[in-house]
Amino acid sequence: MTDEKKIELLEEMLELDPGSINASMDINEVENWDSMAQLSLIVLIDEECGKRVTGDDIKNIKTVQDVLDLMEC
Amino acid sequence: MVYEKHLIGKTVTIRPATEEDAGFILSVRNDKDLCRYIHDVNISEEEEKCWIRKQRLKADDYFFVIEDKKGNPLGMVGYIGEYGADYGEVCRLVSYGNSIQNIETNLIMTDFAFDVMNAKALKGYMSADNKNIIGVQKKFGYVIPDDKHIQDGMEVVFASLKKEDYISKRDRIIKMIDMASSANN
Repeated sequence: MTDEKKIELLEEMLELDPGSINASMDINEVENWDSMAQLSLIVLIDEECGKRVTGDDIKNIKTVQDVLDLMEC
Repeated sequence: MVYEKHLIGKTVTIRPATEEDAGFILSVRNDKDLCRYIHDVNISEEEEKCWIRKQRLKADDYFFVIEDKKGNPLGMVGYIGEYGADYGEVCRLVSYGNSIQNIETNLIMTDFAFDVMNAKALKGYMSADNKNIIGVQKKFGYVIPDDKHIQDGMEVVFASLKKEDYISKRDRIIKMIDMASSANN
């Protein structure tokens, strides 16, 4: 999956307009990034990549790039 | 007061706090980063024990320790019944848990408020800067107007949750916890 596709999925998950997120952003700058969004991300990665991400992996996320790395299928 | 039963979820167990938890609770409360959105406390372990002793006798006031499934303490959470039996507040939630554990804690405590304590609605307040908890509570069905107020020296927003609004969100939250926790097994 390309980074562009991952960002598109993230924006959709967070109900943000296209172009709201870029890889270099600090995760805390991302609107709607909260504990529920983190749960959604675990489900999203499981569904899209068949990959199991732990709650602790999510807790360690600092940047959007970290999210993109976790979404590596 | 003490609710002796343990509240058991897939990722956490919530049990009544005892005086033996005083050291852990104090260490959580002294974690400046974790507690950045709640007011400071500056008390000794003995004073914390005394506070727990009094809390256990106080009507409509429940205080719990959150544990992971291995029995390691993660944090604490409370419930206070207000205005008779009609309204309550899930409060004092501070935890080192991950997002799954924290969302499940919130779910278990909201169920406790409505199903065990028979609250008709929940009320509360939170730091206006705590976007995480504001976002989560809205997804639980809380109504949180943008108006800011000063409470305990902090800028806060008030929140309220009707049982029917929670019920409409609950199934989806449970499904997400199920999916996320199964991905973690």
